[in-house]
Amino acid sequence: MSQEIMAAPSTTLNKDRLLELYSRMLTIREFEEKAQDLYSRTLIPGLLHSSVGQEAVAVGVCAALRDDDYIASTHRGHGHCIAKGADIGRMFAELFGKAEGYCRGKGGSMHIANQAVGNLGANAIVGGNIPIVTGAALSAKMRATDQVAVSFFGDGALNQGILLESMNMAAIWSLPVIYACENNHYGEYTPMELVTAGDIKQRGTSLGIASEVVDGNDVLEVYRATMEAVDRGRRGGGPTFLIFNTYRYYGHGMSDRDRPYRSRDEEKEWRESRDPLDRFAARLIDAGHMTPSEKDRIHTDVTGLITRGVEFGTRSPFPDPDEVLKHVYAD
Amino acid sequence: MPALEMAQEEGTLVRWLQAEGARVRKGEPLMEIETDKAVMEIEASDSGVLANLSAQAGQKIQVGRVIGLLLTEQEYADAEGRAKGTDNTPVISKESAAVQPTTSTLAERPASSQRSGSEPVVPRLRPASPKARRLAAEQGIDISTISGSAHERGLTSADVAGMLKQVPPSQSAEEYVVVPISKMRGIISERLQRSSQEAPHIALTLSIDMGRALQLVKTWNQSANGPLKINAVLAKAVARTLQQFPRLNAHWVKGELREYTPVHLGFAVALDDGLLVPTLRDTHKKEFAAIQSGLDDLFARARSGRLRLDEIKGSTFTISNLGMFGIEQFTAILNPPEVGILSVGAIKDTPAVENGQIVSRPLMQATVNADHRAVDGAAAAKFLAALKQTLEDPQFLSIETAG
Amino acid sequence: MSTPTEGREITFAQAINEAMHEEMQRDPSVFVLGEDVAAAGGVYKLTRGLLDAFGPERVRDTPISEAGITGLALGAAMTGMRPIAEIMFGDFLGLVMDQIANQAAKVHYMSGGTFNVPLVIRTTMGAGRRAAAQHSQSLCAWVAHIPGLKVVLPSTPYDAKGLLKTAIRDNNPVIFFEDKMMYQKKGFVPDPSVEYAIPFGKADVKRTGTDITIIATSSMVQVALDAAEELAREGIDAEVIDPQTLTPLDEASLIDSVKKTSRCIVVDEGYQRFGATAEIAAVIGENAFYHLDAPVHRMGAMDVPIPFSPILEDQTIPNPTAVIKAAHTLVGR
Repeated sequence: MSQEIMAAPSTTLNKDRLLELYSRMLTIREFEEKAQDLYSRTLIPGLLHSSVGQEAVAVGVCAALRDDDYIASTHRGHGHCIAKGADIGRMFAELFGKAEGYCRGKGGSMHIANQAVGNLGANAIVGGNIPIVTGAALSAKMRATDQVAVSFFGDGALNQGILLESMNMAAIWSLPVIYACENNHYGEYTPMELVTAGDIKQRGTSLGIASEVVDGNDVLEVYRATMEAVDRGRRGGGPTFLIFNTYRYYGHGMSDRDRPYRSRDEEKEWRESRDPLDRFAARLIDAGHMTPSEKDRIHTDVTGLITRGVEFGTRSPFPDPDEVLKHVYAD
Repeated sequence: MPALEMAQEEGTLVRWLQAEGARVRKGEPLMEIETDKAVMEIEASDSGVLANLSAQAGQKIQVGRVIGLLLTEQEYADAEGRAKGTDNTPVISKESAAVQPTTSTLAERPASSQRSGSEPVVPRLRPASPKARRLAAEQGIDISTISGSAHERGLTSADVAGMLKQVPPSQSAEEYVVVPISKMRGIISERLQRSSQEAPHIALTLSIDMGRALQLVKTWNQSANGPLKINAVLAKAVARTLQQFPRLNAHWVKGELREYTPVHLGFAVALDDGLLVPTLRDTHKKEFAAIQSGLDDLFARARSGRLRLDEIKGSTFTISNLGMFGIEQFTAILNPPEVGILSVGAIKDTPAVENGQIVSRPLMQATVNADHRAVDGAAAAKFLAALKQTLEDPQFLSIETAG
Repeated sequence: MSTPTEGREITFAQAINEAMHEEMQRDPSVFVLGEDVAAAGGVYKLTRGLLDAFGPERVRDTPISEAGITGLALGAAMTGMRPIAEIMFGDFLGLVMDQIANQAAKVHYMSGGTFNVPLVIRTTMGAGRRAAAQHSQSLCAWVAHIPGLKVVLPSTPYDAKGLLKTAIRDNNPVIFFEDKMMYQKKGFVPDPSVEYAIPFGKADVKRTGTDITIIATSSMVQVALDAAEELAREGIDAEVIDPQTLTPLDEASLIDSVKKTSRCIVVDEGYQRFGATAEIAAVIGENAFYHLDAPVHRMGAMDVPIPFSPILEDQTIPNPTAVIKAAHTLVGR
């Protein structure tokens, strides 16, 4: 059974990398839980959108990317940033509005960008990053690199017109772009099926874009599907549209606590039988890739990483007030 | 802007006493207007609703310009109704209102006021541009003293520059400063020059022993009658003497000699830079207390610029007293159209011969200046002699008054 | 640097074409994308010849997807390219606004200065072509309102070339407005062998004068110059000054000019209400108030949708007669 599960990826993912995927997912989960805790204690100002439950998409996609490949993220973007290689301390610093944050405290939770690893930035306009990432793919193509670019967006962005404009251009120009739709089934406070017509996948296939619906809570499936898309992009085969089915455990944002638009039973079902971390841990243990003590060590390491990150963010100074006028324009 | 006196060209709105839209009754004060000489309240000529107040406090405004309308309730309601029907602020056309001030002609601002070809809206009553004000301030010029703007919308920097150019260039400009000529000084200069040129002045002086008059004041002030100063005694004596010599209580107007029965005494009051002559009407009828309180009030308000216009008009004879400066004797210039003015100096202890003894007496030099066209020297001399007699034996003044 | 008064005469359109051509030659990261820009050479032929010179990769026909064009250009600009995106009509900024205002304008700031956006958006403005309400607006104020953008309004062929070169070399999103009615206007431009660029944020005095300052942008510069010529015959000496860029705005030069003349008219083809004229008038009012002999006067497009019928359309835009009339009122003669 385990051999079957690991069939395709095990050829490219050795044990260390498998454990790393688990560790990354756990880091995202612990980061999000800690951020929500700090938010509730008023240490994080503004808005906060948790991606708990969706960790496999971020980690699986980014595991298929190189550092020089591009991503751009969403308002629910901490996971993508971490998966693409962000430092936890600088992440917390940014959430605190501190000078050593990724955006020097000017972006906050919804705008973390990290040029060093190709993260073009989280975008707080739903669907806002789609044309930008497509443009990055155009740039890669024009510069004749083999970089690919991934646009993360939620099911809510499916109904933004810019998606069609961008996909169309990606298709006609065969751009190395991957449209990674995280379908967590709720656009803010509204069930996706109430506001979305037709078969989503056909939004890609109708334009001649390779499209696939993937179990977004299975990190290896995510990885596999993304690897295929990356190969396609690097080969000049054009864009890919991937729909990752997943689930958002918490509300849209911190003020969405009672979630009247969905049932507790539904939430329980996703959490208990489809949790991406539990499933992956069980499979790793089943397959003999991870021992319980290794799992414990990973948990201990991640806890330490989060604690040190919070400490770094806390110690970091607030920006100088003069900073407000800096970076309105580039030199 | 109502005309308040002869030859008045403009007036300054000191302040509105009623707000736009106020319901006012006939006779209620509407605003304060300052002329060259005084500040006075202007009362509503009729009852109605005050509307379209276009003048600002402090603005200098030509006489005859419409600065507000008094509308009937119906007219006001019509105006309001039309105002709400358009998104532009309605203004009551100044032109039409000026032609027919009693009817409210409404002219909505053209809807195309923002059209590209529209004329800039320049406030017509703006008295001076910011630049003109700044230049004037830098040159120490009171903006209100500059006249003769070429444009009805107000003074510009060119007007200020023009005024500066009028000052003849000096080779040693550092040795003096050009003092701007205030409106009041301009009027004083013009009137007194005319007086001096037109009226052939004769001047007569004699000494008056003020000992008993001072004693009267002292006694009076020791009684319960209230404060009395020598000026009031002088006023009473002059009023009484003028009644005996009405030829000096007169106006010379275009060859016509008008002798007055009542005595309205003018008193020259020195200001920081200028001169006012408030009038104590019917001085001849007043008791010491009334004269004293009247003078105190007039002098105080003259110095604070709060005299009403009717208080600086209509004097029939003027007293000018420079005694407080230690001046012993001087000759004032006639205050036209009056034909006589009395100049009094300081009361000064002076050696005098009394019953063959040299004694010290408090003497005051009094000079009467008369317009020879109306008054001959002998008549002036008789007046002065009678005044001397009254002041040197003043008891009956108080008796008379007391009686 | 001021406009040459002799030499080679080319059109405004040719000047823009030359600027793109020269910059694409100089820097391989510069490329052009937009609707009908390649084989067709653009609806106004601004990109004519570029396809032949640089090929379809760098001279890229796009679908009619204004938001997409702009967003893609932004993404390319963030990742090493220097795109020139053509938005055929300025009116289409309505389709593009999120990409410009929420994305391009904010990337550098939001990322704490890590990403640059060397992006040029060329678009048009101006009424007068009987193109009616959706193809005639001058919407510079929309973008000038947003921090992070630079806004350029050239008024002559010389300026257009020099300013566009600066725009292409700038590391910020630049919105470059070209007046459609000026494309065929000719002016002196140095031979291509003479390299020049015009810095942003420097107003250009198009005519010196002492009696009144007319601040004018783009197409309105010529309107102001025509008015000034007539005013000069009447003894009124008008100074015409062109800010050239709304952002950055050379406030100091405008203020200095008004301090000299003590009167000011601001003319711009955008809607007058809340427009560029309002902003500039406020700058003058705040900074030169005690130097003013008359209120600052704004002249923008009439606040109506630009109508089709010539008899209607022609009223909506400031013309020399209106400027002269306004000058008379302000000068008082």
